[in-house]
Amino acid sequence: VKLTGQLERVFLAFLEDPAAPRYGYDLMRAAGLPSGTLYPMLARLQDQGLVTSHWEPQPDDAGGRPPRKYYRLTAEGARTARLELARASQASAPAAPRGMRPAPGTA
Amino acid sequence: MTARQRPPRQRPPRQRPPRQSPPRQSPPRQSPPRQSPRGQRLATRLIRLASSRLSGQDREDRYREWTAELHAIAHDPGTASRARRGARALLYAADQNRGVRQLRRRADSQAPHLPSRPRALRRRPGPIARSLILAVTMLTELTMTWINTHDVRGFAVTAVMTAGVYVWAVARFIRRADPHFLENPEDKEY
Repeated sequence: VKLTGQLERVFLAFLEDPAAPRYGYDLMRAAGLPSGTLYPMLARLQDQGLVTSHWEPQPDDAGGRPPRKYYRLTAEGARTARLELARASQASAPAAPRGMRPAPGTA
Repeated sequence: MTARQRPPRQRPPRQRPPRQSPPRQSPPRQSPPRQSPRGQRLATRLIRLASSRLSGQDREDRYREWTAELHAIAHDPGTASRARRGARALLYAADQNRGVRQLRRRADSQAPHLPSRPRALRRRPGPIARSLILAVTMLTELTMTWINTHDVRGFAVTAVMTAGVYVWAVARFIRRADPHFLENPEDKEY
């Protein structure tokens, strides 16, 4: 998985509660992504086995609301997401200072 | 002949019955969603257009999924303004056309051994033609909005969006300056 900024936001949105199923608009708001970006990304993650989806069973008290499609990270997806996010944060962390340098003009 | 004069009517003064109900509380700021607002109807049409470009079961699934999401947007309690919810639904639906392109590419890559379509069928409308179709759809919606409701705010929102789509389409046409601009460049048939 190549972690892009957009994928990172989707992973972060899922990892807020990895066990909770999320529907598309919910993910759009959480990740701040437009629909034209989110759904192809979800389809790609589904092909890779990192995300699974299911249709919500029609509840009795839905009041005419159509059933939604929910997405959830698989166990492999949650592991990959955490790993990739950890790698990304490690790569973006500032390098440790090599040592104290004397102030200019004092040496 | 003298005109007949009617005696003046004497109505008993109207008296309102005293209110028995508790004092009225101020209603919440959020306006109730309508059954089928114009924005949602247009958004549904755009989603139908987008999902029609997919094939087979995927088409039906995506249409069901995206229209259910439209419902979620239209009834989003976090967005107080009805106009904003309508605009969000429209943006959501319009952007699916972009997403469908990627979904189609993915579906094509998964089924590489399908027989190729005839040459004539391979010429899909190009981006400019698609944006013109979208603009004409919006113009129709705009006209119907005005005829049916005379709602100035709804009319203004749709008018601005229609003008934006037209400007975008014309700008792309000028930029391309290609006699085959109505055809999709991905087809490479010309």
